Amino acid sequence: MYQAVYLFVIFLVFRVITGVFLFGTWRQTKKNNLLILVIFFFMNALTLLFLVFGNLMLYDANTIITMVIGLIFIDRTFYQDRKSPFKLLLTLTLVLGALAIISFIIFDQSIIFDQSTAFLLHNIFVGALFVIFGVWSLIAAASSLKVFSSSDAVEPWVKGRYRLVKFYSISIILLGSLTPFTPVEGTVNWALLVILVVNILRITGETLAWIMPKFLKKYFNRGYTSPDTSLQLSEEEIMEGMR
Amino acid sequence: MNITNILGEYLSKLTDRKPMVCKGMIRLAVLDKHPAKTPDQLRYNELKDVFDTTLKTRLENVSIPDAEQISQEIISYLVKNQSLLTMA
Repeated sequence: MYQAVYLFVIFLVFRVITGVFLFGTWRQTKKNNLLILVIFFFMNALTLLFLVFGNLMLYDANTIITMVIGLIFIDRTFYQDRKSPFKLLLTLTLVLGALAIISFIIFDQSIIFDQSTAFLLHNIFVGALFVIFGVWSLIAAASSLKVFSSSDAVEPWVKGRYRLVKFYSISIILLGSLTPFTPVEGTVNWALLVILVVNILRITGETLAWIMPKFLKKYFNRGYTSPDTSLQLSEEEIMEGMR
Repeated sequence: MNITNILGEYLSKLTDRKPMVCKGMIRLAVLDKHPAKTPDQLRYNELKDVFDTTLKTRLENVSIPDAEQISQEIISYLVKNQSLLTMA
């Protein structure tokens, strides 16, 4: 794990950059769910910091809090006034989080099970947290995109953002699924290497989705003409047109 | 991203009027309630409230049949597409 410390620092910097950018957007729009996303990215950066310093207990605690914030963001962005599995997923996250911390204490203190069993259990619980968040994020983005995917009224770059959310959600699911296969501290195996690659894809996807640089926006919008011409009409013309 | 586009297109389907006119209608309904704001600057709950009040009143004023039902349908459409207010 420690061999990858420089990579974690790079990941951390990207989280902070995305968080700062979103904070700027929130200051302009005052949309509260963007502020939740800002907190999500900063908490994620903090989680990586604990990983860099090798403090697994704080890493676990922060991962649980980050996932809860992530679930709140999905609920507030996609599920207001709609049937939502939020309470169920929140309960599952908290239970799995508690089990992850308990199994870590067992691993750390070498009580009840041998260390490798406790570490495996810990990784299963932590991995499940990522899978829950990733699956819900994927379902929320995919089902929303389906509603307006064929509509010309929505700009292609917006649809591109939803596709990027789907992409990084799949990466998060993969991360969670591979976590149980990671080795005990200080060693490296195939799962850890794949996780590093998937993490690069995830962070690239998240950064591009939420910062959406101008070149990417232009690329998505190539050949698109906005259908908005409503500003040309006066109130009388509008009311007459409605009659 | 202009949220008026997608909602105006939908209002056009519901009322059988031109999309350009329906987008203007939404813009006017927003101005009735929030004179200093554009539809894109409104939060989800504010937009929902506009559809339930000023848009409905304007639809009734031009004698659109079933204004109440149209108002509810556009609210349902907003609920389904609420993420656009954050993602777009």
